Amino acid sequence: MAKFSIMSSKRIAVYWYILSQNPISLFSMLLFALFSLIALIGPALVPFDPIASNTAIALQPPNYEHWFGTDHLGRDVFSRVVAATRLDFVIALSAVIISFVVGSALGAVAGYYGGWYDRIIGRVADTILAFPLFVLAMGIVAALGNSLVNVIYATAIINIPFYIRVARAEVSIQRTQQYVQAAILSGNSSLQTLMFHVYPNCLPALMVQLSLNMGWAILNAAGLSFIGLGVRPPDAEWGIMVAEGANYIISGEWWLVFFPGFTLMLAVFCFNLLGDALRDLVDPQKRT
Amino acid sequence: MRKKLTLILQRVALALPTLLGVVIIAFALTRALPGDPAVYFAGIAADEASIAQIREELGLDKSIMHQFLVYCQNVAQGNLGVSLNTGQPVLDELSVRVPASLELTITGLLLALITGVPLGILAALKPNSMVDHLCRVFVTMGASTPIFFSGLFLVFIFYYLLDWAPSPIGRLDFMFLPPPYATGFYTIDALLVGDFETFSAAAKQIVLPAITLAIFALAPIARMTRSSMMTALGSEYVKAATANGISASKVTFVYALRNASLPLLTIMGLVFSYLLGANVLVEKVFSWPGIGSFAIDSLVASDYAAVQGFVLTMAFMFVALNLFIDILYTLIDPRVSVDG
Repeated sequence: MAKFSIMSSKRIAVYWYILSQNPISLFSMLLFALFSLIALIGPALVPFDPIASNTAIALQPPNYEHWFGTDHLGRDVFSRVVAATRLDFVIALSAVIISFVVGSALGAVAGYYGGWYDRIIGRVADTILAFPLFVLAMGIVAALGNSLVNVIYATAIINIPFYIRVARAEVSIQRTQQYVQAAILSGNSSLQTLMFHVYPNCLPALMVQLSLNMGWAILNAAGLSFIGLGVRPPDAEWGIMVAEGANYIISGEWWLVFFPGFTLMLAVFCFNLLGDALRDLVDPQKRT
Repeated sequence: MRKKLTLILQRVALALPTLLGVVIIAFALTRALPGDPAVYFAGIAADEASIAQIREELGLDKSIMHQFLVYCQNVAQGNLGVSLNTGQPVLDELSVRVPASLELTITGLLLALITGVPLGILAALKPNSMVDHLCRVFVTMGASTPIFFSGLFLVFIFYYLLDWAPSPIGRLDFMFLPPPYATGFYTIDALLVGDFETFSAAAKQIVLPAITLAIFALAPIARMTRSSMMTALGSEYVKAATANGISASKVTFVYALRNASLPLLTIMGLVFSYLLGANVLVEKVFSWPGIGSFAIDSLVASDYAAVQGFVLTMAFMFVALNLFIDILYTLIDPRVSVDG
């Protein structure tokens, strides 16, 4: 155990060195930390109640008291944007975790056992990808019913094929390594070998996929709530806030759309950069 | 040539299982509703008789295999059910709106191609130059910006602040009548009858939504052009051509670009997948009367047959597009074979 912790602290030092070489990676880590902090404690810190309306102060432009202005019901946009962070992160994270678990398990089985497993799982992945993905997500939410949980399931399902592909490719490479034969020869069953020896070695590549996927999952979930699926008013969520503000953009009340939209963009941007940074850690060959 | 024909036929045959898979998923979606599907498809205001009629139409009293065959038969005949919102067959509702969506998507894609490909080429010719950095900024922004946000942003700048663009109220201002139907594309139809006023009115309406789509599609196109051009320019045959004294422009645009266009073609399928989804959001932002807007209205009104018809239509269009791209690939690339 002691030996392990020494190794990992050395490894952390190496990672830190690689990250500090690239200021953009460092920036994305800090931004991610900030977003996580806001998601965790933000709702407790906001100056106004994010869902309490006060029509006397409706549609005020940004000012000293209301930093991001107020919306058509007089709600403080800043408080709503901050409070929405948690909901958006929870939606995206749950969707990504579901697709990670299901997709990587299916992909690992397909890559390790091959044959019919591979053919059937590959065919399922191809069929999902035969749909325009956002359209399929709309169809799934329509079929399962319009609720937040179903938006999460829909986002998870359309992302599963990407995890299947990454896991399958990684397992097919790892399968031929000598440590796998050693594991089998020491009496592990094939399932044990796959779960405890091959699969952990595929995790780095899957983690990169997970991080790249987070941004796209947030975008997708926000797009679904923009068209009125999942999140119900008066709950604060970036996509639905932009949708509510959309009617006011032609009369010039830009802050209703700008602040939630920009925050959403920043979050997606952060995850995309973070994915690149993680890839740098995992795959030295692509390091720039 | 004969060999290519065989290859193309093989591609078509390979699309059939995909098509079957799409129909199976679409069928599963119609049966995923909790409770009695007939009640959902009949709508909120349905009485016993109409529910019973729909139950019989869907074959819900029969086995699941039988239901699936009935579903396949209906789809093959173009029977996607009746929209509750409008009372019209879903297929009719969709086919009226498909030209609007296609006109927007194609215009957006063309815009993205004529800006993205040159941008990628310039970036590849001069790595780490201003153009290259500009390309990288565009690609990163495009991949991170929610398309409904960029659309609304453009409306704010070009309609509210600058007053250059017309208000985002669909394909044509209320002052104009749609041109006589020929292709269903307002801009082309107006030109066909020589009505330049209607043409410019329609063109003004399509500019902003098309630019929104183009910004979105620009990112993958420019990135792929850049990387595949870099690979092509660094390859042996380009060095050999340059060493033989062939002019730089010919080497770039004839030798390198032709080879670089193949990877670009392969990602076009993915670009289309994103574009068809993005189209729905752009249509909502610009009140564009396409199938995306129709689907959103149907979703809000719990009009299930209409939504499922929309999903199936989009999937068919996408499968057809991928097949088209595959065939194009076979025609362009002399080395291509089905196995390799």
